[in-house]
Amino acid sequence: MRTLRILTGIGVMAAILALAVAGARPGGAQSREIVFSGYGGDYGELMKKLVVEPFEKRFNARVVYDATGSSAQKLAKLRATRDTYTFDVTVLTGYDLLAAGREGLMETIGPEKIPNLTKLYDFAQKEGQGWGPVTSVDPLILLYNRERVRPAPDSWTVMWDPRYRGKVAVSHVSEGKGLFLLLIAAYIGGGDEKRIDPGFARIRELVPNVGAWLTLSPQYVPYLQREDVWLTPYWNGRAQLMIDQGLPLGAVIPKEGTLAITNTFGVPKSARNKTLAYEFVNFYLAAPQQEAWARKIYYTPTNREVTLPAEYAGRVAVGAEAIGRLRFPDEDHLAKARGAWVERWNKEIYDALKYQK
Amino acid sequence: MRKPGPPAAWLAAPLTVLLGGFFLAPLLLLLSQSLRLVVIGQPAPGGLTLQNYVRFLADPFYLGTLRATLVLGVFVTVLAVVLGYPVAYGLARARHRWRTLLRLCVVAPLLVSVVIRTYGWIVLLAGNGVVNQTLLALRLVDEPVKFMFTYTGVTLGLVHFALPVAILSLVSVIEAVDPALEEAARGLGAGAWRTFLRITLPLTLPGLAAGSMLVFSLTVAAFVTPALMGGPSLIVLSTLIYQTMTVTLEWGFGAAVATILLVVATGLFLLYQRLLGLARGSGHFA
Repeated sequence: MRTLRILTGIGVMAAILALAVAGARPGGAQSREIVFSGYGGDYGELMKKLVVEPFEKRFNARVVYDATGSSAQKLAKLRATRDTYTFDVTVLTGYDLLAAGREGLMETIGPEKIPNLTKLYDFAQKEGQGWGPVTSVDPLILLYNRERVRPAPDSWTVMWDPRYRGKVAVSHVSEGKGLFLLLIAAYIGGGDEKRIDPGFARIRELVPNVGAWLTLSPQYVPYLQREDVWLTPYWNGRAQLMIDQGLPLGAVIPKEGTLAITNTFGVPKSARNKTLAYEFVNFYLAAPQQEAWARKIYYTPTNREVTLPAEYAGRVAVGAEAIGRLRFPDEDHLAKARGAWVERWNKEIYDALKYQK
Repeated sequence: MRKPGPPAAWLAAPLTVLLGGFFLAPLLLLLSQSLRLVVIGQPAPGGLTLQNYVRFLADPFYLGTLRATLVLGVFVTVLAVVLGYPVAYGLARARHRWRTLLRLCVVAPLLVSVVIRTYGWIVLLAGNGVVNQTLLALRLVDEPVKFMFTYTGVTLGLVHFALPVAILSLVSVIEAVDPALEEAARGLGAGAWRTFLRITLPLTLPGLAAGSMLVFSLTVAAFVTPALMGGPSLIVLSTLIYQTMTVTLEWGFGAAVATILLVVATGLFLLYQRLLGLARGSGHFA
């Protein structure tokens, strides 16, 4: 009996410990608190200042900002916890939101829950079959060193130019930039999402020019600073921030056009405080927040009412016409095909490197 | 119904619960996950399958990554032990005054996050890095040497990561050898090398074996260095597990790869113990 009691005691203590670790607090349904899962770095700092804090003031609420993990990791977390509460609102890329929605993890969000939805461009409303609005768009640009790459590049094909041998950086296909580069290579080679072979063929041809195999965006900074890398596909928003910091870089949307990644907000079915979660999404979609955000982070806003001053021309794609020129990949297909592409990339690039030496 | 049992058993209860809950249960979960198929964009299908294991074991590419991981592990371990032994010997026989300072020097790298250390190596080894600029300035090479995204770079990074561990585990072992034994050997006419080979080395062998196991297991499980410095020419199991677990979300396959790594590494330990004749009675890793 005594053993049992000791063991029970230990069990209870372990449970308390687990709860403490999970940061779970009792109560919640009625409390004025939500957990928002965003990204870290500049994104996090700006999000807190421009969106989270004004929201807290206006709604007399508290937003706990959780900055851990990439979009894929947030999806993994949602999947692992399924019916257990993790956060109330999360940012996800379009294709991750689709996967989460298909697996029955997300609430559908219509204009009855977030009235500002109707102020977005059509494509942004329809995204993800109603699992969440597109809150912003970020095109993949060609980032180049202004002093080393002359004349300024106007085509993706410049990356294949033998003059830039060893000076190109490429992301692994498991990360967004690498995935989009594979698709662009496929388009250039006459294929598309469904006919990916030309894409892999072009990437294999690019191998001799690749001097840095990277993954996450922050990894690029030392290579760009030290001029180890002169040319690379990169996200426009982050590229503009680096240009603002005074690095001798240029960002261009090449003449073949480009793909844009969609950032979405979603509310999981397991969310604890859905009413406030919808309010938060709605607040973020309103023109003032969308504009402030676009000015600071250079993402393309999806609210039709937002315009930016003249000095933003050429730095952020704003307006129906500019957005119309961006291409959006078939996200449904991406979510399904990505696993196979990662495996193929691992094998084929490894192979191409072997024969290069 | 109270049986007077040995009190020692009750004392072990907290640890049993802790290890059972936080070590054994996750391992069993991992194993059960490895027997399931995950299909992206669909609710998880039921039923157990060996398909994940077949996918790995029937594919020369994946077997190649397993081999690369183990070869890298052995290579780094040998280098770390060979380089670490003299340092450890010096530390163990150092005068008291210097001992603390020297130990601090060895432990210092452990106080810096491995991510930061790896970025340090990147700054040193990149095409325009410090090492290459020095080599070029001294006219030792005509064009930058490729360190990054090669086997050499990853090995360097991992040896740096493993050295402090190797040294620390060797110091205590060497300290346990009475210097009088070495002096006796020298007194009987043995040279420095002979003393080392006949006295010091055999006496420190068990500790050396344990230390090298520790280094090996750290190396085959290391993630940051291969991920940041390896590139596609060196895919090791840890980066593969990371990809499948957090990016493509094929958890079944990732769990199978993790299980294979665990089984192979444990198997190698047991073999190693057997070879060194350390397995007396119950094995440490059984």
